[in-house]
Amino acid sequence: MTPEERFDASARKKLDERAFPFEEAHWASMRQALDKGKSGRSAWGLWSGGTAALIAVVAGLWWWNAGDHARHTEKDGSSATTVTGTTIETNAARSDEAKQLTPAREQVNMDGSASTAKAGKAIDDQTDGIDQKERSAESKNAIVHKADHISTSHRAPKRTEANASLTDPDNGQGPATMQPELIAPHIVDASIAELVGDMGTTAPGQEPDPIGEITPGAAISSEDLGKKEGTAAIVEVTEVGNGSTKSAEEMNTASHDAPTASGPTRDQEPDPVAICVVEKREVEKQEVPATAASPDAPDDVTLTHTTESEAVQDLLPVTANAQDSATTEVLDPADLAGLVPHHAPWEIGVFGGIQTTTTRYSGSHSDDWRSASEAMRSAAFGLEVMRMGQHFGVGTGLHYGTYEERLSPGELSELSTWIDPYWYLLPMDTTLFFITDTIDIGGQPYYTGQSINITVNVPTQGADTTSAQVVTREARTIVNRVGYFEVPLLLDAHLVQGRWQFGMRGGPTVGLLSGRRGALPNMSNDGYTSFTDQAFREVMFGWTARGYIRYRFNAGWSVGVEPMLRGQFGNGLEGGDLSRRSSALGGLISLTYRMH
Amino acid sequence: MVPQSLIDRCLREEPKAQYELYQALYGHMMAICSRYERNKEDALDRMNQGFLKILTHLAKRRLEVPFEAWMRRIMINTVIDAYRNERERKAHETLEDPPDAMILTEANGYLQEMEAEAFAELLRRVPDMSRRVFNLFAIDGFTHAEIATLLGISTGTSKWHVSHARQQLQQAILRQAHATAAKTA
Repeated sequence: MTPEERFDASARKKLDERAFPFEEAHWASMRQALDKGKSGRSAWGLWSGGTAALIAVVAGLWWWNAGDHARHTEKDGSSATTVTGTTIETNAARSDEAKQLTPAREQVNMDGSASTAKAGKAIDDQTDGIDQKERSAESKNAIVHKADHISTSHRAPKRTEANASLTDPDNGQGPATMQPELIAPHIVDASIAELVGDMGTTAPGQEPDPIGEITPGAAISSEDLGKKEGTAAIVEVTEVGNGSTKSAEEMNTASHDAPTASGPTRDQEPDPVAICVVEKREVEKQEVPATAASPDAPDDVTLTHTTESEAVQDLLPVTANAQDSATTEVLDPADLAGLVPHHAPWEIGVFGGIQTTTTRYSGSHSDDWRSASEAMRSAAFGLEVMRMGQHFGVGTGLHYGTYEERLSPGELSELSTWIDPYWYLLPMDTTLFFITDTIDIGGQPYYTGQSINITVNVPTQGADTTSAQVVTREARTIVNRVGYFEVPLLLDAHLVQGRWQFGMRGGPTVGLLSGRRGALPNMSNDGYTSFTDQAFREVMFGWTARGYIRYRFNAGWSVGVEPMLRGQFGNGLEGGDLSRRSSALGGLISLTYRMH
Repeated sequence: MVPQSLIDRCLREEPKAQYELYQALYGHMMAICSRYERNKEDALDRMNQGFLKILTHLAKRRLEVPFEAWMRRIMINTVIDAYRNERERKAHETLEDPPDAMILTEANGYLQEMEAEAFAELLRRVPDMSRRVFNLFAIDGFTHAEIATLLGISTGTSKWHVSHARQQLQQAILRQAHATAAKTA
């Protein structure tokens, strides 16, 4: 074994002799680390699961809305020809009612086929001369059409055929030559018979209503039709289609009789159709005169109802049994007039405010200074574009925010001690005995001498201990700022109550580093590393979450206050084991415009 | 010797079992970390980091490997990993030529009479890199090739560090021995 190996073995043995008694305090710090790791894992799982669930719910709602919209569009395009409405208060049905409030919509109702253009124009020409009373009658026409939605779809094609023959200029029977006898049976068959049957206007035990017995192809007179309040509306449809003024007047009379006739002619419960007629007239009082006042531009009204949703919105206050009762109950018509429909899909918003940012450092000898980090206030603002549904929305935007903190690390110094051995002479007092002579007495030698006290200098080794305190880091107060542009994927859930809107919005963000300023303590050089020399991640993933309360003060604009939370998922620094994680809590003021 | 039942309970993440394992391994872990780290706080940090690794990787341990040896390797790897992360800030540390060789036998004699804690204190005064290489080579039995791979240095540099650490220690031992002798005189 070489001397080196012996030394190593001795060193190993010596180090093995050391004992480290267990310290509970160390376990406490270990426990904290274990709990932190566990909560970190559970928090991450919670966030991941929550985000995935939220995305799934929003995607599902989005898909459902898109599908519903497609179905409505399909119904709108084909409702006049196929009349497939199977529910009483679908948006399509209400939209159809809205369309029939104006002459322009009338042609859609009357044509009811793909070849609407020519026939529609013919009818439009004929209906130009219809006076306000006739328009009122047309409005009633909407009720009949609504009743038509109540009918089952297998009846609808007959009505379609009737309408097609009514308006087809090529079949040798122009609208002016159309005979009511050819039309009425079909219409009665398609609508009234079902209406009477489905609406329960025939009480149990009563004789079946004669109208219900009318069969396709059977002739029916106007008198017969006039006996029933429901038929009055059908007569109007027929007569308007014919463009006959006389018929229109009769129709008008019939239409005015219709609601009142419902009482005396039936000793039953009020007919829902009759109720609808009364309500519809209230609408006519509000809307039709305005349309009739400018007969040269009848499309004005039409232009105000260019979308199904708007038409529905207009009808909401007068629709007795609308599905969206929550909306109709809350919205006052006077208020409603100045507001954009709550489901106008696109929304643009800007916001700005102040946030308090908290930055946590860990690792790489940050123990002595990370507690000296103080939260600071900074500005945050952004722009967002959202597609909003009735209760949910999705969108994106561009946010800018800075994460700031004030660091006040204390002074750091190192005490170095050197021990230098040296030799010196240590004076020592002693007594020396000098033998001066030897005397032999009886064969025994005796010594004589002299004692001399003397001081001698003894070489001695000493040690010089030199200590030097080197300041490796001076105390300093630094304000660190790191700015990010963030592109969020925003998911929104909200509730509208009149002019007030309450909601929550949030989602993941992708942040792009836009600038940084400041410094961090380190263990070398002068004790600080400038942010410009520090490696930062250029792309950071984060999250944002806000609650908001908004007040809509006119047609499209609203203002709101929004408490906000945001943060970063990972370490903002790159390289090394120093970690920087930022989060912020703040308040924002927002200005939002709902496009319509 | 850590019983397998305790390891199994740790695998089920029982807090009490984790505490018992920490208590059982504390002495070994602290002995390793305090050899490599200059101060007690750093040693404690490394020990806790290493223990966390032990707990999180417990399920991946191959049963044929003795638990103590596996634990020891994890602790050493933790210390070395930490050092590698900090190497950038240590880059300014310059290599000095080792001082003239001292008489090893004299130093060995003093070493055997020294208190263990006093020798540990002397070891802490050895420069970081040399101390780590000496620990790996002389105490933990790594070869120079392994050390070179672990620390990203050449085998020649590893040898130099071992030699340097030895001589630093021997000088310190002799100085302390002479100082002690002077005090007693």
